[in-house]
Amino acid sequence: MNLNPPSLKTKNLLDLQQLFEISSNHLEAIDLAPILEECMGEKDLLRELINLYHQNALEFIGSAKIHLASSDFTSLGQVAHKIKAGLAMVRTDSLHAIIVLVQKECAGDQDLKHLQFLCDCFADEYPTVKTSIDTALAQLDQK
Amino acid sequence: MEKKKILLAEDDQLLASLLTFRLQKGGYEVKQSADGKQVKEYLAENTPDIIVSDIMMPYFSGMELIAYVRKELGLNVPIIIISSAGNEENVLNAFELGANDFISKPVSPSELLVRVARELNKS
Repeated sequence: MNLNPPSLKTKNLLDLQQLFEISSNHLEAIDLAPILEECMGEKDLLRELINLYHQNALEFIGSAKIHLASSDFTSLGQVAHKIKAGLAMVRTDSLHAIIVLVQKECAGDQDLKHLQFLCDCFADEYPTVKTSIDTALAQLDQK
Repeated sequence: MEKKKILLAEDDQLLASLLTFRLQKGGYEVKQSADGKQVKEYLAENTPDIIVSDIMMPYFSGMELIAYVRKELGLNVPIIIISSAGNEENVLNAFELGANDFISKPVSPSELLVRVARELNKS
């Protein structure tokens, strides 16, 4: 994630700390073995789930833009809720942590600038996560 | 032997696909519904042996589903609720409305299989 501290708009120090933890960890490899085990070794199912994961992530990025433009925090909270379980399932902790903050802000202060910042973080981080997932999938295929 | 029928009401396609796969592998027939409208349509013509439902769903929440099944349809089928961590109040409300069990997200398919078997053995 390309975080530039002076430009951070987050108002919460805990959030700031969490986001820097995300930033420092973002190059960690994603281990798809646990989810493959849940799929009982069926790689086709795993690929299907990963495709759904990517669809959900892209859908969230698009929906977030629409809901932020209309300051519809209820809907933004709902789309964040919907994607959260999938992010946890694939163990993409960085995106999951951002979504938890989005949900918290939607249910709490509803600060538009803060939410815009968090959603931008998600959109910035997603391509890195996608690359890590693609790498992990390729490694599984080689086994 | 006829397979037991599970109605899985879950709008997260990612989770629903994994759970459906594991439940089918476990020997169950699974009807997957992504929202409240589909749930109502299915229940109008079918009676599952057990219902597994997320709390937050479009059109018709898991809470409304429990109330609908218990009060309007008068069905006594076991209902397992899927809930996000931190939704304890919702879980308590779900039990008051007539849910039999709950499982927290992220859902472990193996744990769900055990809970489904347990509820079906009770009924």
